[in-house]
Amino acid sequence: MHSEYTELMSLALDHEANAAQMDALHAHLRGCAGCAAAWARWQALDARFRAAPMLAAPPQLAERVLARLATRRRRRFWRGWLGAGLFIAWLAVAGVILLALLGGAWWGLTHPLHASLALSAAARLLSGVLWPVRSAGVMLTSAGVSPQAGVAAYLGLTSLLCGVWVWLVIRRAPLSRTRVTSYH
Amino acid sequence: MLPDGWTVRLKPLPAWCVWMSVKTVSSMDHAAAEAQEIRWLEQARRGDQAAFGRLVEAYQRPVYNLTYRMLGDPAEAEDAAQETFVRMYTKLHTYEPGRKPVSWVLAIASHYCIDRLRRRRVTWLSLDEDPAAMALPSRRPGPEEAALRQEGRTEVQAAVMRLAPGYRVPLILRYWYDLSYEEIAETMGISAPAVKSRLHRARLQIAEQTLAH
Repeated sequence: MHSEYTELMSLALDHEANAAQMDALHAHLRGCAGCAAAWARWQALDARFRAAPMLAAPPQLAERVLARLATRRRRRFWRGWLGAGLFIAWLAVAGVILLALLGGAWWGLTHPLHASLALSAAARLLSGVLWPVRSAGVMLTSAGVSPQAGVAAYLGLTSLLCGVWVWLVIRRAPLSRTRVTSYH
Repeated sequence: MLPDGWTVRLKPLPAWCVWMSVKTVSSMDHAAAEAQEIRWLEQARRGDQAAFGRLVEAYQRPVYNLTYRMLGDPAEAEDAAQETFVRMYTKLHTYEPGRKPVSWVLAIASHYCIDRLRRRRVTWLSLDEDPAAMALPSRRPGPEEAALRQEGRTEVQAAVMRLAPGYRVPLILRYWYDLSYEEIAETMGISAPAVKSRLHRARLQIAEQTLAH
């Protein structure tokens, strides 16, 4: 079988061969038994393919498509609300912290004695609250871990957890699969 | 029997258009049907859900046929057809006026099927195995399988399934949609000579496999 002529056969089956190419093909087929047999086989295959039916879509396919789109829109809507809610919550927290700092600064400037007493009490309270951290630091230091390494590990772990949380929130949720008819 | 005034034109309209002419548009010619689809596309782009629904109804058969011919499994083909329409909806703004709408939809479907076949990560079956027999459920045949068996066409689907995805698409678009080399090239995003080459190789492979069987 000659490959240059099988190319012509393919073109001929697609009605893309011109008259000269068709003449060349038929002339070759008259003298080449292998290609003539292949041509007969290709024509038979072509006929089988052309006779193969276009399959009908399953019933209610259009309805299921529209249902899948509706589900997708609902999910997008709620994801949008979740994102907006988180942003508003972040703004509120940041606003409260800013107001507290500004208010504290103003109060400290106008009442320096009270402010110094309050700061002292806050430092004592903080020191009491943070004793587990201090103890952990002492233990790590005695185990040979430098404070810098401890802080770096703490920040790394915190960043990792924050990253996982953000990924969970913003990751693209898979579209819900509407019922698919199974013939198995 | 078709009602009076209904005509079925087998040539030169492609199979999907023949179906549409029988099913919905009766005497409407191909150009008018295409113009109607473009109008629906425009309306869908402006957010008209009903117009998009009409597009889905118009294209569900050609899209399902393509996904089935590509994937060979009825349930997977239906899921792929649904996903094709969802992608079509999200890509409505990318439709370029002047392009045949059906060619655009088939491009989305064929690219999705190729992606899906890649994700399957299957080892291509050897020529001694019969992929159609594996892909088509055998215990309780569905309507597609029944139709295929009834008409003795399982060997056609088996031959398609033995081809690599890159060869399946041009063959399917050529035989079931009667697209020209240029239209197949546009649909697949390759050149017309590449389409010619792939169709040639696909036919070579099918002929060799037929001989082997």
